[in-house]
Amino acid sequence: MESKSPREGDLKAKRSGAPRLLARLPVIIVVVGVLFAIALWDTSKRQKEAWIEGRAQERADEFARRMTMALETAGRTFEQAVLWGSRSRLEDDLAFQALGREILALDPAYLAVLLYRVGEEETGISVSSEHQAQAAAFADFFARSFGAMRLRARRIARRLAVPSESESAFSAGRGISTTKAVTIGGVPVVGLAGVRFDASGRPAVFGALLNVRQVLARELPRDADPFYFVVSGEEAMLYSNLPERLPWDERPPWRVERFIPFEDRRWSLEVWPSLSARGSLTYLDFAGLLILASWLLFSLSAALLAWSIVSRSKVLEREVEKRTAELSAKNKELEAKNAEIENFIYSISHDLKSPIVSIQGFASILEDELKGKLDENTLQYFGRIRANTDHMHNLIRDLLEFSRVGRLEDRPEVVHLSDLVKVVVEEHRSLLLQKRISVGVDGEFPAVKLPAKRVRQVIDNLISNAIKYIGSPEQPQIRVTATPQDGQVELCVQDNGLGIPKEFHEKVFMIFQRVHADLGIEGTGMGLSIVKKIVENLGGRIWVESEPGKGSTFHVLLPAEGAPVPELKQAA
Amino acid sequence: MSAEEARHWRVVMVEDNQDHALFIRRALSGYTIDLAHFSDGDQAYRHFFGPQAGPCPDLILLDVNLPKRTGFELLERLKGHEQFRTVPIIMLSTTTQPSEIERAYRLGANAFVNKPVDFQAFTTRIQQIRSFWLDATLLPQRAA
Repeated sequence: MESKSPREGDLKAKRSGAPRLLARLPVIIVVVGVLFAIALWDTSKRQKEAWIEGRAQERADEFARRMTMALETAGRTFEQAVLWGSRSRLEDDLAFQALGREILALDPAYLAVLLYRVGEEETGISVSSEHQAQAAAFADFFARSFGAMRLRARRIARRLAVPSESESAFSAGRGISTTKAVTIGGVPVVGLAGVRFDASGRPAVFGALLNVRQVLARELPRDADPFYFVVSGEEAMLYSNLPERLPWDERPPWRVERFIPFEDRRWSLEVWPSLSARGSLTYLDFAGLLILASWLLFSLSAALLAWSIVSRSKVLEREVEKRTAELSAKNKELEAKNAEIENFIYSISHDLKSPIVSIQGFASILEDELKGKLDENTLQYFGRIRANTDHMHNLIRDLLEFSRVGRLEDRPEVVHLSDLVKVVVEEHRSLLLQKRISVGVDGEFPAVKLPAKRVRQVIDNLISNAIKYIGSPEQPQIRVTATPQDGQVELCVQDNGLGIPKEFHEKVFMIFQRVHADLGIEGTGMGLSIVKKIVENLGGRIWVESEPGKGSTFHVLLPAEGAPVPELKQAA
Repeated sequence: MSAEEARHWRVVMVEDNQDHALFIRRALSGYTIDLAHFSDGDQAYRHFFGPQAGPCPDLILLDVNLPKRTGFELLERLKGHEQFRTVPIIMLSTTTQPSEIERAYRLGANAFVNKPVDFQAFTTRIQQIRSFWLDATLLPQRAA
């Protein structure tokens, strides 16, 4: 028992080291993964924001500069026009100054028209080069086809799904045209604003602009999500659907906080603006999101894996611990039971044997003292007393033996089967001679590593049985043979005696079963039960082949080497 | 006749089974033996170690299973005592428990003898013990 505790100690010592680190692995992985993802997301977000901001600022500045310039010029020109009525000069100035990429144009009737790239495309006139010529061409175009322009405007409106009332407003002189989401070149355009007014009426200019702002603010849905763009030229000018983002601010220069460069459409699609409650924009990068998600997934799966390994090893550990404890408890229980049984058997055998000794003793004393005074019958009775007490004694002895087989420690040792057979035959010499039985020993008897005492018990029992039940054949014979086979050895004890009926072939190995009890042959009916128990305890097998009147052959198959005996305490 | 043969032997028998005691007594009858019998461990203990301790015996026949004080307890005390250390003690038992036999010798028993079931064998064995320990062997002289 004492030998077990160091092993349990080892188990405990092994448990504390590496697995503790392993147990923390999931947490470490998750923390590292999350930190990495946050860092990645933050960096990419900040980089993107900085880039967008930079570009936005650049473009906003440029746009503001140009618009300011255009409007200042326009304002100045309007002023001059009002003051001096010099229309031709006004025309030249405005056309020259305004024909930037923002497409501010005047018509020959001194109507200022704000157009976008759509208009440019529609008219087929590029406004990006040679201002003079362009302005002249514009002027010419408008001069020649003021009526046609109207038609074109209508067509544009149709194309852009501008409602008809807008068209009428457009043509009425202070026209504003707006539309809801349409797509031009894959970019959503929700607003097309046009202002037409008499350049000589300065208040009208500002009134019109204000009108545009109000209409845009009204028409474009606030708080709408997704964000709406209005695109101008190559630069993706952003007309926000939030009033504070409108380019038409109260005071020039107008501020455009964020806008998406048109040429980098990939970005404009990837950067998905979402509105927070306060209306500020938060950018979530899909690529970043993907990386973040995959990192999180990776971390999660790694953590899960680690966790499952850890928990499994923990479960296993606990299981092993539990089983060890169970085993040790079982072992203790078994030992206690063993000791208990041993004590019980001991006291039984002691208590049962003592009266037998007494009965035998007194019968003998009586027989002795009454010698000469007893008749034949009475003497026979004394004989019966002795025979019965002998039988009872044998029964107790065999029961004791039966209970001890396999329960008490039997140490295996190297023994030569042929030696054991020789010794047993020698022990029965006188009986063999008396019954004229010839004994033949042949075959290949190997050395085996088994408990010698038990193997000898088996051989002894089988040979005594053969002698006992030899009957009276003409030439009584017993043959003992052995055949080694594949780590085992088959031992056979054959006789030509009484034999055993088929129905007893199994029963004969059962306790208290006697085939020839009626023949008055001594026996407790336990010999073969003990033999079977011994053989099976050694990991072997026993069976009989027999026919009444033809003798029996008992086969014993034994392993050449017995299993190591577990350390079991004997009863004190 | 030599001096040893004429010697009056003192044998102590500790046996709880009255029948067995009777058989032993019967087996030893006819010899000049002063046989003292105690039927339990306590009685025997008082005889050896009590205030009115008897004389030192030449041989002790000690049953293993005894009430009150087991044979082993007595054996241990006797073999641990200066006066009785040299007295041969024969353990008698109806069983042949290996652990019991080992324990007896470990505690200093001079012999462990199984009581045979057969009466004749029983008698013979007791007589063999007598003849071996009282006739064949030389025992230390005891004070009278």
